[in-house]
Amino acid sequence: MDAFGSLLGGFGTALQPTNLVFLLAGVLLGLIIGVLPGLGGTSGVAILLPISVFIARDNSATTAIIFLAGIYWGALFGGVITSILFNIPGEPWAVALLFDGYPLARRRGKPGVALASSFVASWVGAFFATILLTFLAKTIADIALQFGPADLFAIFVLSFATLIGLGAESPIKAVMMVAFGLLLAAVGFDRITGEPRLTFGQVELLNGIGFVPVTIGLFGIGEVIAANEEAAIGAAGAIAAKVGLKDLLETLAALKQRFLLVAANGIIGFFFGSLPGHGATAGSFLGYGLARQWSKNKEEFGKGEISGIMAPQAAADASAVGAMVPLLSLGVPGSPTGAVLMAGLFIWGLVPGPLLFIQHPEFVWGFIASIYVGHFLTFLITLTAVPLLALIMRVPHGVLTPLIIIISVIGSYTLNNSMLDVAITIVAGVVGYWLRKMKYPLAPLVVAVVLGNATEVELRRALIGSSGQWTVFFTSPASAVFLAIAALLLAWPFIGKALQVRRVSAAPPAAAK
Amino acid sequence: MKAMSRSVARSLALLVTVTLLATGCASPAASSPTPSAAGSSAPPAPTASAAPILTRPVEFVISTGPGGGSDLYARLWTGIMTSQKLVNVPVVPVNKPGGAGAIAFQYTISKIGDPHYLMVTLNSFFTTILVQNLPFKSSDFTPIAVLAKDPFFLWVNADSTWKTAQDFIAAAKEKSITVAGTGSKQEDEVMFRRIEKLAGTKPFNYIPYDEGSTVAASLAGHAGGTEVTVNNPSEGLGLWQASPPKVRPICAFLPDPPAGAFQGVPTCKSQGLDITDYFNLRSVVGPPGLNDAQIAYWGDVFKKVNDAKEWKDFVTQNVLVADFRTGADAKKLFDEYTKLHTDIAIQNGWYNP
Repeated sequence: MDAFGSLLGGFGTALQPTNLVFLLAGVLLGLIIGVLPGLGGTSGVAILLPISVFIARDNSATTAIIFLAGIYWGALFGGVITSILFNIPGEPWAVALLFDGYPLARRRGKPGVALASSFVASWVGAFFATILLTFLAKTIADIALQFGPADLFAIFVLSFATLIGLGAESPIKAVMMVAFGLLLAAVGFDRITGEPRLTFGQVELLNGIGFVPVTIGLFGIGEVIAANEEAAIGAAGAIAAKVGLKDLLETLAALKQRFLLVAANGIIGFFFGSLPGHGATAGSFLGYGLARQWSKNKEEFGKGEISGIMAPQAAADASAVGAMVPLLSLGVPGSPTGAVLMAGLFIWGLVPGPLLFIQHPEFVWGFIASIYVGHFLTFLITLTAVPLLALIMRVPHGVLTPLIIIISVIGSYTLNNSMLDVAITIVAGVVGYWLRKMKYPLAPLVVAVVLGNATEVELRRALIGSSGQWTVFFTSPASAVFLAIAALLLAWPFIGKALQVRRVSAAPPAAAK
Repeated sequence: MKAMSRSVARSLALLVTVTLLATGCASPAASSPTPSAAGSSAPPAPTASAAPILTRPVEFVISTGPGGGSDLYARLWTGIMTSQKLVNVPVVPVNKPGGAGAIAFQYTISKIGDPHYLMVTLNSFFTTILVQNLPFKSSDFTPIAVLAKDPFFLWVNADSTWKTAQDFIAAAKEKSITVAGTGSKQEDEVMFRRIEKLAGTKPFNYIPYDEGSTVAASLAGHAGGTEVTVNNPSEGLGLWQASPPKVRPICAFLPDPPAGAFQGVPTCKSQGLDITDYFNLRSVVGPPGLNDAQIAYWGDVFKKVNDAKEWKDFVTQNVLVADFRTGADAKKLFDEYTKLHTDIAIQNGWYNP
């Protein structure tokens, strides 16, 4: 219980007025940065890194990291706002929120509940993750280090497996969309050979067909076109949802029913985040997939099911906390934002790693305590802002449509400062509209674009390391277990179908989204 | 309580304003480098010289994403320039990641004769241009300054039985060892291919990772079978200081034994692995066609950056080799590195001249 005493000391540091002020400032800035399209936690922290140098000099390195981390937490909460209200993802792990967040906000007219659900889930997920961080940082870090390319590949396969058939009436169409997504993901710089692939000599295409411009196009712009068509024929009316305490109560009631799911996703997300590399996105997709697999009413997913918001968001925020594990205990950043925070540590004259706990305990524990405080602050701020934010949904189509298109274009440009991404967004928007009309499911396409590249790279890394022996996927226990679960999940629908064929005709037609 | 919260609110508002000004300057400058983007926070132009060299915000192009390889350096230098008011216009770090630097190079090369663009380099500056057969050469860029050389160390897992470079080489002659490094056909693989050739080992199974820190982590966890890396000191330090240690430096590819945190680590040369001339260059280049006055101006700015305490401390902490060069001296080193990388790329079939 040594950690407990240290944590109390940490709260003493985190709650000092100066630190509290900077934490609040960081959280507010983070919220703004998160809402701004294209700017996410990573770029937000990076932009303010130079300022942190002065903060570290005038106050202390602890204040500086509390400030920067505050931006990160704020951005995590803020990033979901555009996903839910505009169908535009700010960060890769906010993609899973599109599937149900936007439908709940717009189609069901409950933007308040959608937002509150994600904020509540964020907070609960992060709370569980921070407890794990407090007491198990070192152990988890050691386990995470053992995860090699084969295991990561297996995790990605598992993510795919849980998502198969996502919102699809026709498995063939879903498979086609996955294949199309993998093809798009293959374009660009081949990280294993260090050479261009399918770029046709275009240097700009080396960045590949990024999933953010694609997703912004498919969901943001594609949805806007479709929605306007509906509005033109008079299908979509103004949303007259009342916003306020009622939403919060409804959300809390929903949370009560799903508490185990949210907590479990917090723990899963935490572990995924602690893996060096890219855990958060896979974590949020897996969270979504699991929520869907476990749910009794699968048909509700994709139409605004609250579990579909809470599960991925809890996992995503928890993995942001998890990313601090390798950073603090080993000096290895678990995420891009972790890398920027680590850069900060170097600049302030600290060496990240286990010695931090011994040489600068006030720094480490002050920081850990600030995660609790920071999330609580963010939670309070965002909840009070929900009614205001939800009002956006009452803006008429004529104003909202150009606004969404502007945000989409700015967002895709800001990401890499590339005009090509803007072009991709617009093309994806048109393609997305067409796919929607043809009743092709978009979710499998997006998942393949988001995870395709990482899956391929880990597969090839594993095979290089084993000199081409496929047995590497079964000799590693973690990989073997994940692949076995994946195989079971893949086979389950067929087993299920074989058992009860009669339900097929009764299935309601799912919206293609 | 009320007074407290009011003062908190006031300082908060101040901070938010200041920060938004800073970021507000950052984003428009990134998209359209017009004078209006300078906003209100730009310090006045110097009055000494007749025509100022810089008239609008400077873009400091970074070939990796935020937090990646050279990003930290560009941001640290920019921070020093800003805090010491070394430049009369805002200097804005702009990330142009992708294609192992190709996108940033392509962008910078097109700004011929424009002193408002700078680019921080890694050794991908030499390798990528060759491997991807880009339509320009490293020597087309204008060398501005070399600030430091980041050395390579030979690392093994803490439980490895190899104690010296010779143990490792003897084993590598028996069978293909799995090694890991940052990127493909870039500096880490260059090191391994040089070792391969110099010591006559079997070809290494080289696994490319995206970041130096992930490379070090893969070594620490035996992930993917990694047995050896050539991480920079800062990338392995944390894992080495862990208790119990997870990785261990065998030797340093330096002419003289390292000091500071790595005191006691021998040179690889002393163990028969004679590579002392290869480092990751932490340097700055400009677009082609800068004139002497512009080169001298930036050389002078980076001289002051190099003298700043923040930078000196950083160099010591990260065991960098201080080797400040500008002008002809910098160009000489760049020419040597261009030749070295061209030779290696040809030998390994990565490039056909």
